Amino acid sequence: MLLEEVWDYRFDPHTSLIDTHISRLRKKIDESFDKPLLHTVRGSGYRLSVEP
Amino acid sequence: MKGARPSVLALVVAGAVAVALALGMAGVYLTADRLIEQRQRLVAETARDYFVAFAHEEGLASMARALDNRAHNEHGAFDYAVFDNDGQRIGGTTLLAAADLPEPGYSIRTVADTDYEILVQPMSVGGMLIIYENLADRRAFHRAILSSVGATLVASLAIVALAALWLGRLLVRRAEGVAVAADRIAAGDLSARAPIAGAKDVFDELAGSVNAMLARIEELMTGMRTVTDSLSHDLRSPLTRLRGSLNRALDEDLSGDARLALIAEAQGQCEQVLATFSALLDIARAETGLSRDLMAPLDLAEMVRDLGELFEPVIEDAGQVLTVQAPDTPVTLVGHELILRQALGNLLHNAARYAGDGAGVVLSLEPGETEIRLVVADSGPGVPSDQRGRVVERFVRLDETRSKAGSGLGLAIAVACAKLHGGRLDLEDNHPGLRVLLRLPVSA
Repeated sequence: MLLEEVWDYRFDPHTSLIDTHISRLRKKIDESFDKPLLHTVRGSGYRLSVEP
Repeated sequence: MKGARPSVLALVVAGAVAVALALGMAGVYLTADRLIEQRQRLVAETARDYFVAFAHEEGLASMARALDNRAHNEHGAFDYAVFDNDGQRIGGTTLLAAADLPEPGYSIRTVADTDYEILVQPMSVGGMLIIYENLADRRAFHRAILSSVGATLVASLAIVALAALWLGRLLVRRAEGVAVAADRIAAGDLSARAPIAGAKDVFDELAGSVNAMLARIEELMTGMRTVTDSLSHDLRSPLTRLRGSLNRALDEDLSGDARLALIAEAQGQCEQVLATFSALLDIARAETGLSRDLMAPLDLAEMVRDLGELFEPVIEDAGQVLTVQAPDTPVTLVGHELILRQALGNLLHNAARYAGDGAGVVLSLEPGETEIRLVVADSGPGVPSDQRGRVVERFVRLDETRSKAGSGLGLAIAVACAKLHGGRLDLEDNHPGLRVLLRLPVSA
């Protein structure tokens, strides 16, 4: 959905381009910290916040 | 076309030519008739003037003798007679008595079953000069003109009728090829084509256009058939799985987490169905040329670098290395950016999915004089040459088990994209691996 709304791409959904980018981002932001900042909001996207 | 009669056309042409010919011939006939009458009258009037002058100079009696002489020496169409003031014939022919003479001037009389044109001329010295012209000569000439005009007319009509018949047959024969092809198409044989005689005439042109149209129709029909067949196959399984997931999620004994997991599964299957639909719509739009109004000048070099950045993580996660090669200067093309990105994205996805661990993937932009090439090459196992034509078809996937996820529409979109831009998609051997070229012609 993000791909379509933000980039207007409609790729095959099976290799999730967004997931790949987010997981990299998550590795840089959240890895080796106790409290994750990048949260997945099911069905709509992602959120950056202290609140879980 | 069956039952079309060539003779109708022939008759129309022959009729038109016949009318034109008849009008022309009637003109010739009337002109000749008028000319011969003028000519004969000129002869009569020259003789009249001569004899009137003769009488004036030499007297009526000498003139009468001269007339007798001329009648004796000449046996032409003309006869002469002279009467004195008392109505007494004093020279020339005895055809008419004084009492039977017509009024002065020209008139036509029948004397002893022969038609004469008679010129009666009173003279200054008294008396009457009579000039008879036997009309038999004139009528013989008349008949000669009439018969030759008629013969010409008949011969011309015969020639025109034959030519028209031949032309009509030719037209019907040439048009029939197109008609037969159309009939066969109507009967369901989509491979029927109009014959091209190689005469480079308007019929060949027509047949060529019709054939181009038929080829396009066949292509569309085949595409449509493939899509409907494949749709029923490829949408049924994810939809069935979706229903299964939802059914299981409705189980009352299920824990909240397990239910959520099942709903998430269902959502994933929904996404797959939606993506397949979107892809099919994109192909349809590109193939019908509907997206053509969205074409705009764009910089391919920037687009390629952008795509490389976007896809690098995907390629890396597949254990592969992505190399992007694009000129630093802008490469401008009037194109459909969305579908170009989608086509290249599909090719990169395919590389990530099928080239295998450790493969190298190259995305490159090669601008040229006549065409611009967008290339995605990998060093994976490649596609066997006999399968290369097949993989670009919709829903075709080479792993028969369909163990890997995918809709089978990726390359079909790339092909449609190439077609939309007037180019083509080529699959080549990369020694080793697969090299996919999206070749876009540079428009003038």
